[in-house]
Amino acid sequence: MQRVWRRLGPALIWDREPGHGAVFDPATGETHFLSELPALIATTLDDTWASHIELVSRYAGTVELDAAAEAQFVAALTSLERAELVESRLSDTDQGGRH
Amino acid sequence: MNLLIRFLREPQGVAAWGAEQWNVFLPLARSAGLLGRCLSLLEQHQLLEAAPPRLVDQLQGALNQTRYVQGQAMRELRAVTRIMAREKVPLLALKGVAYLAAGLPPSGWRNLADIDLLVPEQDIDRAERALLEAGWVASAEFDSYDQHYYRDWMHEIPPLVHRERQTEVDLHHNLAPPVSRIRIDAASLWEQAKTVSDAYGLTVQVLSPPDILLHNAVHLFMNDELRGGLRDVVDFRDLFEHFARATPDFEQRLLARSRLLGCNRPLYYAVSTAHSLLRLKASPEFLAEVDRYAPAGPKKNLMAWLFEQVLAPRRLRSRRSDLANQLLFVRSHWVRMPPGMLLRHLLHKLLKPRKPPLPTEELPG
Amino acid sequence: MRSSDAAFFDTLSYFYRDCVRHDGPHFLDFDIRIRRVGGLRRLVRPQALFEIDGLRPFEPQPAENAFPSYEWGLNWCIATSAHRYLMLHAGTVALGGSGMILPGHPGSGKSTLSAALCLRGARLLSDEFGLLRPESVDLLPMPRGIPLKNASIEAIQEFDGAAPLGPTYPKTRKGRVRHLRPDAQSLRQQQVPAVPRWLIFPKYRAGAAESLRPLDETDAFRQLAYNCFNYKLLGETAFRTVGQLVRQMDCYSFTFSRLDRAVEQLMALAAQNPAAAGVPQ
Repeated sequence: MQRVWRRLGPALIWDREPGHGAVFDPATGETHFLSELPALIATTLDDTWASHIELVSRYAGTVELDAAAEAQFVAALTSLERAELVESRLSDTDQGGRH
Repeated sequence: MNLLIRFLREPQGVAAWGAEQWNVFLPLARSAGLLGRCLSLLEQHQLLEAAPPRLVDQLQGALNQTRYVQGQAMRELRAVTRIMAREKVPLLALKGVAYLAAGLPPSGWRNLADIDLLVPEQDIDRAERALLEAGWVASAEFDSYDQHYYRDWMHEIPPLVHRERQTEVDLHHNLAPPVSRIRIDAASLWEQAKTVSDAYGLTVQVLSPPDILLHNAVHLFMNDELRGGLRDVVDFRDLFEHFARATPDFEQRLLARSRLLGCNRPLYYAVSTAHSLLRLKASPEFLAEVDRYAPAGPKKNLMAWLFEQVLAPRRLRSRRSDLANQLLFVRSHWVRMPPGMLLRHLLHKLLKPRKPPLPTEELPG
Repeated sequence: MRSSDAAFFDTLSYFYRDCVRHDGPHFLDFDIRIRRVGGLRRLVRPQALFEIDGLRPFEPQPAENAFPSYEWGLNWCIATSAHRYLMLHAGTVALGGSGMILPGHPGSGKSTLSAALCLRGARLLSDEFGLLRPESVDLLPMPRGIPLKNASIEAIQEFDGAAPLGPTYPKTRKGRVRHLRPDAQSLRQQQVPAVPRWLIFPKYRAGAAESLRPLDETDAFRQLAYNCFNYKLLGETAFRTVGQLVRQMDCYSFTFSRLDRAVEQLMALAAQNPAAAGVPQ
């Protein structure tokens, strides 16, 4: 059992270029000011379920994450979930499984 | 026949209106919650130029506000749907939020204060627990009387709201309470339900078209308060005409369904009111058949008169409509509750502290 | 607007005699009635009731406060129904054809600053509601009496001894109030919009030196959205309009304590911009 994440919903609308400044979510009507890591995740996450490890390798290739960096990544995902920008669930497939 | 009703029956008539008519019309439309509907009718009939520009501004402002609450309702629906999918509880959307989810005509203008959802009776406690665990809380202080009222008499759990949002969620397990004379077989509703999905990946069930209309009728004429009533009559007319255009034998299906679910009396009230006030387009055969479900003797005309006084008052807050409102209020409770219960309920409502008017500290400036 | 209260009408005429009065049929945005409460109330502590469309959203006020109640009641009408516009909680004035927006919560000094700028020749758009058309991003005027509360009254009198102030209302819910009468030019030009050019977030701080500090775009966005009454309600439209505004305007936060120096500094700022032709020196 592991936690998997995905983004479901319409494209976010950025005030300027993606990843900076204010961003509008049409699904909730909320405006967010995301810091760098959550902004990066929000622009690149798609609607397939993936664990945070799979996501990191999607962005950075095969990279060793130390515990602190890994925790930071998960914290970013969690804060995005609270903002209703991503959703998560516990997957009962092995790591590398889809949906 | 007031100006708002005239407009709803025949929008083209406003081409001849002057400032005096618009000035009478606007407060009536505002009070009935129909500003958005009226804007849509003006657009549909190319009458925007005939209306004063500042009136169109107010209508547009009202529609902007409606779009916002609609967006928030769908947001709430999606959030609840996720929880119920995880818990494997079947979920069905009702009334305003169902019109939105299914893209039915009222979604163009319909305001809504909360979302109404149906779950099976055996799952309602589990559904409530799941929502409470996920961050929803009771929307107000409900004493043990309220809890008893909602759960045992109304087929609902007391309304919930998410800690971080404002839209109320009303979970029901049937459309009419068990103690009223109308017993709807919930299983039959689920059997006929349809699944709809939206562009954001949400799927939810909604009632079949005849059941949507019957629910509207049961809700409107069995309600605690008829104040929001004209809006619901407009919905009934718009939905009926939409379904009738889409399905050739819709009238027959509606009649059959009404007989099966035991909703003939409310259907009569809904159809006759929509027909007399808003010129509902239906076949003479259908109208004749429905007329058979009217109450006997002088009561038939009395009820029609009462409804018209409340739903289409000549002026806002006329004495006649206030009196009619009171009579209907008592009557609609009688249909829902046994007499002893009714008395206790009315007394309790009277004793509860009422919301005070707005204090001036809260005004801008 | 109807009233049988003669004292109220006298005050209304003092403020708005330069406006057109319609006696024939004319479309009404709001049907407002100010009435004296009837019965024994008429004799003992008379009260005034504010009615819109026959409904009474507020508690009755002492009859002598009919005028301020009318002004605040009208604010309520606007705040609840003008969602056709983006509504900023801001004082707005025009210098030349360009608009200066002064957003702020009560106590920031925006009304007092707006009043003072107008006494020095700026055109009054509004002391409370910056109304913007989202499709054209321009400010619409709604010039009315500016309510000055408590110490602001003396500040304006010190700033300009000839300022046309209305009657004093010593005991309103917001304290002691006097209204500054809008000048004839502002009233005459109430159909003329202004293009927003300067966004100034004022902060009154006793004893502080006047200082204008440029704001970065994200800060300006955040603060402007925060000061917009219907930001959430207008959804994507509000988001895009605010974004465009902070790019189009020069954005500053402004600390001040002395009204004369504050006005001087803001007028100097406006004069710097070559596009602001007709800015009074």
